[in-house]
Amino acid sequence: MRIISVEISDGKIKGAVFKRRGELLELLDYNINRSGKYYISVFYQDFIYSSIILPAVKDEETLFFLLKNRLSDQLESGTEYIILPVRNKEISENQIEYFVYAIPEKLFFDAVKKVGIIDPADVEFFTLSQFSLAGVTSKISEDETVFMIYTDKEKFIITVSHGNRILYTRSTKIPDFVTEEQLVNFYYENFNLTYIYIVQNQGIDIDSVGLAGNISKIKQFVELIRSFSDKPVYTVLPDLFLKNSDFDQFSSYTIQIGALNLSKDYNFLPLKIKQKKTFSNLSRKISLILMFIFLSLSVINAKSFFEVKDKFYSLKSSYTRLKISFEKEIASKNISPEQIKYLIGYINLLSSERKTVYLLDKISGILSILNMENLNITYKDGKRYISIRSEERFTSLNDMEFFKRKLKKEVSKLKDFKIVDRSVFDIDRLSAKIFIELVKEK
Amino acid sequence: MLNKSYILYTLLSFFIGLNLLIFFTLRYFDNYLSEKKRELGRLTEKVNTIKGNINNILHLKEKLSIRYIEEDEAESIILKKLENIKKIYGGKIIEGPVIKKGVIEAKISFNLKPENSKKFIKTLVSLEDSIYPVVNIEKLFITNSKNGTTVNIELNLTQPFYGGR
Repeated sequence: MRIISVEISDGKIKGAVFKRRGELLELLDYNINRSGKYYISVFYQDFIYSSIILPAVKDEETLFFLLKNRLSDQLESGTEYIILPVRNKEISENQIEYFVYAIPEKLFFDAVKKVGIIDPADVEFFTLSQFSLAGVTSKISEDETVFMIYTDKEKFIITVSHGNRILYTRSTKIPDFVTEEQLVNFYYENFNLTYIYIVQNQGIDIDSVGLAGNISKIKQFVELIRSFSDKPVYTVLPDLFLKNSDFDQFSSYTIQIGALNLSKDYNFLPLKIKQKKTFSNLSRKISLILMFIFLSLSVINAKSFFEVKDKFYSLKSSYTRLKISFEKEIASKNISPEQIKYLIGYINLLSSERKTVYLLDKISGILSILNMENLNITYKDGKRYISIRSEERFTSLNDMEFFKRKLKKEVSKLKDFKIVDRSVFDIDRLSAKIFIELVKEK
Repeated sequence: MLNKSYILYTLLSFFIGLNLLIFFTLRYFDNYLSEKKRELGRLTEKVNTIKGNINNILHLKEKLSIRYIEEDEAESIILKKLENIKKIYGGKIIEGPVIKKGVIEAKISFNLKPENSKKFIKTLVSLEDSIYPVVNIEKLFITNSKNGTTVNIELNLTQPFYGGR
């Protein structure tokens, strides 16, 4: 992903395109009118700064409301501001000190317009040039309080920071009347006053002094501040920041490079742009998830489609093979399906199961022991209904029992019949009225 | 940006919905084909059985001397049989001849007074042995009394025919 870091200073735009290579940056080119993530540093001296102590507030809206209230005497009415609270330290259990910075919101939109960015949400980071300088310091030394000095053709910036925390910043434009020869004196005078003010009035202990930009090339100035401050003075070298770069290139783009290393706490992006970016990020994530679901389903469907297609054609060919083999079989027999149907119907009609003689043979065992009065056989709906009636007389009880057993035995032989035996035996008269109903399914 | 996202969501949601529809349709179709595969398996078994049965049918055709009778001939066979039965046993035609699906049917009823069961069985066998037409006894009522045995028979004459209406 390309990163475009731009500084707007005195109405002029200066920027370069970078790419992150691990811990380092690679300067690709200077064509800033392209798509990518924008980091913008604006040199703006009239920002509002205040140290404000507030009770611990969790709700962001309430915090901003309180801060706006506290800053009300410094804010111009009718101007929208971007307020940036940076948590400094906890004063007591419920009291927190914030370093609060405020800049007009217009500054952001003017910068966006000036750089030619169509969608403000393409801006990843928006800060002040003075703050960007701290991005250089934080990478060099995280544990020291560094007094960093930067100069270019238009301005002189001093930013005192400790790690990621900016403690103080002061900047000035280099007046037109200052000549090349007077420049060292101008720098030294500004350094001198600021250093004394910071150490004596602000009570900040400086551990070292850093130099970046044009000023690092002026040996005379380096010697002056070293003897004055009695602190280590060093020049920031490009090796810590840029891959394959030289000192001049680094000196020219110190602010742009610093912005890329600055803590996110110093991002002045307006709240609505942050919200829009949050929404964009969320949208991107949702889109990725939806895209993943879409692609997964597409792959599954494509796989299923080919499986189903193979199954369909395999089934179709199996059916065709079966049909052809059946037709071949029929053709080899020289017989048509209609003829088969005719013959099956004919053969079924001739089935011995339908013959009454066959049925009489089946029940002949029962008929042989009865003095039968009448026998009724009816064929209806594919079933045979048989009813047998008879009156029997016996010579003795023994004879009667013998008959009973014999009848029972014969009836039990009829396995494929439904049998209803309504026979009545009169033991006193030694007689019986036999009434047996049989039903055969086929 | 916002509109672009909404367009992207809408398009993706639409395509996901479409994909889901395709997914369930394919699953339904897959199940349908599996069922058809099982049916084809059953059909294959049936076809193999039919192949076997065709041989049996042709064997029975030869054994029973079944001819392909056309409709006109079938009607003539039924009428001849009715006349023949009426001549031998008397009786009454109670239905037909009626043309049904692929067959001509008629029903005739008559009474018998068999001298003995042997002769009676012989009569039944001679009736039911007929192939042109097929004769089935629809009703048989045997009454034994002091005056001897009386039999009432209702015959169903069926003559299948090949082709025709």
